[in-house]
Amino acid sequence: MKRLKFIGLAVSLLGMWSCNEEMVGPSIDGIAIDTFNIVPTGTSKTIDADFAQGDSIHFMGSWEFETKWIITVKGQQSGATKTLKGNGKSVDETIAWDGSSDLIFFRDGETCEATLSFEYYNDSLVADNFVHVVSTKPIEGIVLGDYDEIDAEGWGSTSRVVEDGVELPATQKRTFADEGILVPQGDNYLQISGYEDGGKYYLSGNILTISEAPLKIDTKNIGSNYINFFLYGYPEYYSNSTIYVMFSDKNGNKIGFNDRIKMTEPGWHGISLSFSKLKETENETGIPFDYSNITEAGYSLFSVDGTECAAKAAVDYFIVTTGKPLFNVYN
Amino acid sequence: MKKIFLCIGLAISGLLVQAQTANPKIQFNGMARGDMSHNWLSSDDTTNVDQSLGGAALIDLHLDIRPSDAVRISSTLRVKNAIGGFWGQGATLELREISIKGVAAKRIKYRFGDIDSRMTPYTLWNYDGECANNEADVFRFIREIRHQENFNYGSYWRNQGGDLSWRLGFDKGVESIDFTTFAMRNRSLDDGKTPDRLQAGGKMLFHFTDNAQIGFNYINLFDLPKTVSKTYYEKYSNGVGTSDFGFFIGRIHAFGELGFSTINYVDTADTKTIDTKGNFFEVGLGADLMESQLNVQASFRRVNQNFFSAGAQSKRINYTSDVNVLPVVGTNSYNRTIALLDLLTDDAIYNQAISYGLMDYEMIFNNVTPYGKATPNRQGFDVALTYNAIDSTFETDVEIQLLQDVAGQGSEKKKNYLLAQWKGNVYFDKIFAWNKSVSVTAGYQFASASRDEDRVYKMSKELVKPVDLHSHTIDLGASVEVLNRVDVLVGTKMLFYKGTDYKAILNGFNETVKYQCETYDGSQMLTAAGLRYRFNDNISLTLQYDRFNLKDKNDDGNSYKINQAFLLFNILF
Repeated sequence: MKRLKFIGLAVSLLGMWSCNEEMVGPSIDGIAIDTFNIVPTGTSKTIDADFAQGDSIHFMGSWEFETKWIITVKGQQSGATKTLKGNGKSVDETIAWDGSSDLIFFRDGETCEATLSFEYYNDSLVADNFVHVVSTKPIEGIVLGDYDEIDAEGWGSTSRVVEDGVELPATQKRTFADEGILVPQGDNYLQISGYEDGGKYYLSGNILTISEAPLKIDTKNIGSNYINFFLYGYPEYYSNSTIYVMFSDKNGNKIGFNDRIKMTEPGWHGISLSFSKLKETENETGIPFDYSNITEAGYSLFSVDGTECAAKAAVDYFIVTTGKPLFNVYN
Repeated sequence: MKKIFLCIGLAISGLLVQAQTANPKIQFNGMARGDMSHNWLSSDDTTNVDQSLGGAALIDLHLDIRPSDAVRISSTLRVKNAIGGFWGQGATLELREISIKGVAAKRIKYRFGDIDSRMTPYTLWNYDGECANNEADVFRFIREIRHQENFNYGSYWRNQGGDLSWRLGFDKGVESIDFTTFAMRNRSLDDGKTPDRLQAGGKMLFHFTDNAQIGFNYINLFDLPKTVSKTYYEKYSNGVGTSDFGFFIGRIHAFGELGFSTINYVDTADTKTIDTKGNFFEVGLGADLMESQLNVQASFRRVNQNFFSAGAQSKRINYTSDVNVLPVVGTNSYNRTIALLDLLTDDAIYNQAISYGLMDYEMIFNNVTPYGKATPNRQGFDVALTYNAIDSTFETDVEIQLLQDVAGQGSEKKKNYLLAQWKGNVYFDKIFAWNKSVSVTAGYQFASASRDEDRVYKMSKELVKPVDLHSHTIDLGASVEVLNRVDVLVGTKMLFYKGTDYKAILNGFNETVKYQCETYDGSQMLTAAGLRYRFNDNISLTLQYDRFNLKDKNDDGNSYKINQAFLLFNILF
């Protein structure tokens, strides 16, 4: 019996000895972060920011050595992000976020978290306080359609895209709950689809009626006016899908982007297109296109080069801006 | 002020006279010491304050009062006058210690007040300070003063509290069981915000025979949260439970200890919670050979990375302390850190309290076992050999510890450690039958940590460096009685270090926040020569000169030299 107890004790100790323990502390081949916080830090974990009133948010942090750092602010509801970058071994109050976003927009009332990460390392630290967006940074421009408050008239051919044995409508409003795709602005976006069967014609699209007053573009600075919108490429369709954008004046003359917009990768893209890239496509009156009386805008889905295939995309938030584009300028 | 001291002095004198004559229930003894030191930087250091003077005259009066046969009250009063505090201007009077002890009902021993406590090396143990491996007499007596000043008596911790101990005897199976229980105050209420902290525990020691015993130990450092009146409070607890045993079979003996630790912390304001569990074990065999002249011992221990025992891992030196002697040095005019010189001469760097988190340590002194046997995250073998010549002419000890990380520190790879310590004393007066004492002491320590790393590219200049830090500590000393009661003392203490290691930077709960890469290449050398006159066995006068030289090969602007002249008059009565 005594021998059994002794063997039991010895086996227990051997078991303890042979345990393979996990590494202690952060990896030394990474970067050690001392601290990272949203300022002002204080007793409250949440910092209110009214970006519409010009508020800005600052950060403070320090880490092991000088390297390229990245601060990413992410909206917990919208999924919107804002990325700030720099080089150094600390950030101080000179680093500010003015409420703008990388692509899709932050929402009023949502909570955002901030993460410090690095270009060359996998280490990161999430600030233990948060930003509460009281109101978002306003965007100056004329909204032509957002599929929430300003709807649009859709069209589409009878050649439908079939998914899982079900024909998709040519156009349909979708929400995050429908497809699990983040909505860039508001609650809805518009899905457009169609099947190119050799006609090399549009597959589906939308007319954005400029209802209240005609859109006026200063003819002396046509190139500094932009049509901006979000364009989503579905993973199985983006390489087959292109978008044509056009405008009509009060005389029925039309200008459009004949090269059409292509996508090189799936996901949401911010498209900004200068009006100077739009060329006259239809003119039965002989009168030059009247930039001071634009009454309609529209866009159409095509397959790439008219190839026979299914095409599908999604769009949201068409807005005309003057002076600067909302996103990187296409082409 | 002078009148107050005069009154106190007269009262004490009266008490002492009474103690020595009228009332044998009161006894006193004590110690008087006068010391004066002059420190100065080398002449090539022209940028910093060059010199400092210090010293004091003091008397410790120890009163031993026996109101009855079963009760004893002890206290020590210190009167101290700093050098330069002329005519009593810098004088202080302090109660250094007070305790009451006795036996209740002829069975239960009790102590209350300032008491010294010790359990096992994994529960409550005051581990020796670094670089004290058989140092020369010329250094040893100075270090002993530091220990006396800071109540470092052996491996005991001085605390304020109380303890009880009693024994139960049995007729069968177990001969007796010793019980000890204690409670000490570790921290007092701080500004009404931080609660009181106590340390309490106990030991049960089963004696089966004279040669076989098993002990059960438990100790806990814990908060009393309701000693503060606020809605939110923090509550900390560090519990350690162990069992230790020892069996003798002829000349062979087996020994060991195993146990667990817990850290629990709740901060109800932030709802922060820490719950960490650690464990350890140590088993070993020893043998007394050659008529007990040679003792050999071998053991294996594994202390996992989460094991924390505040009572056993608190360090004697507080390495975050500022140094007091010439703190700004070198052409860089930097605030120097604790060096060999300060370990011997600076009272203020000594730690007197149990710390609730792992304390900082100096890697170049010992990066293998900075917290003694209970150093967490170590496993491996420990072999020790002690030999004492039968005619007491010489003695030598050697101990080798081959250890490894239990868990990699910031890396999947584990560090390997080697700590080799040797010490030896030779008594020439006994070898050659001289009347005057002549002895030589020597000690050597090699400490190394190593870990290969693929040199991972971090930045243009930053690489994950391999760990290869090693240090050599050499102690040499001689004591020669040149005339009757006149000793010449010489000694040197050398430390050479080179290499790179990563030090874990911890938060308050021993969690590693990051690793700080440190690269060293340098040396420290302390050399001393002194003359001591022993008036008798209890009174001595020592005049000593020390020279300390620190070289930093990575940045010569950090190198410096300090000279010290030291006079010590010591009286025991």
